[in-house]
Amino acid sequence: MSFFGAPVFFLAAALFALGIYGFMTRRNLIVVLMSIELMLNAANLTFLAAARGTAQANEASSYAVFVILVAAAEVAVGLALVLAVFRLKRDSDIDAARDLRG
Amino acid sequence: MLSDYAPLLLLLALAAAFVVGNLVISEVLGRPKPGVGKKTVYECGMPIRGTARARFSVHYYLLALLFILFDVEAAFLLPWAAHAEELGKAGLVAMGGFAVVLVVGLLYVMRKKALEWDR
Amino acid sequence: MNLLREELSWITPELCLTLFACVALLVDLFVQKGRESVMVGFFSLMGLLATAFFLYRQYGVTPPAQPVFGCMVVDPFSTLFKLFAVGALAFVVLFTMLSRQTRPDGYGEFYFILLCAGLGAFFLASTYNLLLMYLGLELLSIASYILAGYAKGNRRSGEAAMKYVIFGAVASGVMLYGFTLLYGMTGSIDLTVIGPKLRDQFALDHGTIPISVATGLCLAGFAYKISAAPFHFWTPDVYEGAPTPVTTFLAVASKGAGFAALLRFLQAGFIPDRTLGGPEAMMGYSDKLGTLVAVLAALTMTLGNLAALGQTNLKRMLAYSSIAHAGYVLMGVATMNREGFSSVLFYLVVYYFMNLGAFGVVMYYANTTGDEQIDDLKGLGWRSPLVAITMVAFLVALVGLPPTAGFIGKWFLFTAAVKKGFLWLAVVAGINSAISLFYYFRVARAMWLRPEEEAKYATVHASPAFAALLLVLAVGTVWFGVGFDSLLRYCDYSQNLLR
Repeated sequence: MSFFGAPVFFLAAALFALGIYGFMTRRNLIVVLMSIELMLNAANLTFLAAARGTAQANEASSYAVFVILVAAAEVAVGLALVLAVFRLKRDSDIDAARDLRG
Repeated sequence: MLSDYAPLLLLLALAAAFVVGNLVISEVLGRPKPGVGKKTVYECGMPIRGTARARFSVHYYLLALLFILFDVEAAFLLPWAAHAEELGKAGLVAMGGFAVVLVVGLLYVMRKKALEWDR
Repeated sequence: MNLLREELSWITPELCLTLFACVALLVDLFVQKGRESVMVGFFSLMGLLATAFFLYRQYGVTPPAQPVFGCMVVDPFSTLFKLFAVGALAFVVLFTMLSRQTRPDGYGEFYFILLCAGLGAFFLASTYNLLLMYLGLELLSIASYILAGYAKGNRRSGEAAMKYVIFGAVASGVMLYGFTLLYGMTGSIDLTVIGPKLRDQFALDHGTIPISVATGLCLAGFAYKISAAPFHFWTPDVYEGAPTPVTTFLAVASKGAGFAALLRFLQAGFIPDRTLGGPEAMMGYSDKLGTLVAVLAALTMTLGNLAALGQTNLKRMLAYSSIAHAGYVLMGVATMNREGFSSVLFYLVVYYFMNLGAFGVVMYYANTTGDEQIDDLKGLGWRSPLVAITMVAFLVALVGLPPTAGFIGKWFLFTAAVKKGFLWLAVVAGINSAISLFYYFRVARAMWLRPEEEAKYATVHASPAFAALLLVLAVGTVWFGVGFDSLLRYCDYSQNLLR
């Protein structure tokens, strides 16, 4: 439980909260994607910080590599879709997405 | 231990003092002479063409995305390369499978002509 | 090397699916050269068939004592889910090949991405390893994002995919953060290790706030995947905008895999072993978690059903209905015991049949009319009575009336909930089922109404193969409502071997 007292944990939590905040308040899709990256990096930081100084430090680093990979793939698909939508609507604002309602 | 960093701190302080000092001196002693040349964007001395708000070709994004993907996937090879001998045949088989899947992806990208810049 | 071979032999289905996915892609690239995708579809079907064969061979075999490669669990529970994922994929592939409107001719990648999504569902259903669970979820999700936006140049499809990717990425990020918190508390990403560690922490009485935060974050991700309230709002938009075969996949295979992972997560991490007698605090926590899920279940089914009432688009209505069904299934999850989980399995199987069928009919009729409005269904019952009758069977099952499997499935869910003491939840679910009667009935009525303009859809391209597929699903829906013993035993068996 001592882990939750570590400063790094608070840094990660702050990053995560910033990501959520950005997702909630920003209207630009690219910035929203950046916020999501922030959240994933907060998770990575927690992984690494939790394993720091223990026997599992190497394991945790490999988890982080996996998460980085997933983040890259996700952002690649997300960016591609945002571009596709931009080409159709000429707008990368989240409020431009209003064809589907009900 | 901490004293090892003293030169670094000194360097930082000197750098900051140099910058701030110069700014202050030019503010105090200098006389403003506005002109067209001074107001334009500094482009390493090149004449400026167009605005900075130009759009990138969508191909740029495509290539950048592909680069990121393959770049990150290559990151998996490094830990394996560092421990290839301990991992032995099992590691070789695993990384072989990984590489095959990557090659299929690369073939797809090449076949769809996504790597050709000017088509 | 022998150990490696043995371990590899346990994951033959996954290997087979990966291989055929790659082969399908290569066939598209080098043989078909992007002209027609029928051949790619056939290759995908062959791959699914081979995978189903390997899965079937695995079913009766004693599962390995240790997880394969330290993270893949091969047990009847995962095999059952994988079998149904393969079945659902096969139906989706067939639907795609047979439907004129959405057939992505010249887009062979469609099948490749579909198979990759199936692979993600495989991993999601068969691991206690949080990292692999996350990777499986992401493989499934990322493939689904692409599939949802597959109708290129269609604004609605693009918008659906965009909404899906934004909300999906956030939800999975939240879940991952929850996972890392669990890792921070217990020093392991293996749920079978995390469970006992958490029990120790409960015994030490450290307070439950960190555990509650971590669990809540994880549950948010799962709730997103199964489209449960309050993370359901993406569902109608994505289901309506995505091509119908993709919607079918999302509603059936994706949701099923989400439930599989949720069951594993709760079972391994948060259900105290009653025989061992876990600490009192953990019992209490498990019950509290159950109550939370019960509240979510009530919320989900009510929101879904009320919103479905006002829909005019058939696909959108089915999307809300699928939210409502997630609520019913969560009722079984809320019990947090084996009986409840077993009823969840049973209901999911039934859900596969009736939703595959219902979305199949949507596709069949959109093929002939090019539209998905409920009012445009008029006259379907007179033009193609067989299809209309199968649709009635699916609708009756969706309401949960006898003699269909929907009734039996709901019956088990209700009894499990009542036995656990969630009488109020059963009452809410009952009221909801009554409400759902209205909007399902509207569809059935529309089909048997005479169209005002007789000649409007005179050119009906009835596809016998498509009708046969629907018939198979309808027979399954009704058959499991009568001869459900074998399926129930199957589910119980799978469930009891879960850890």
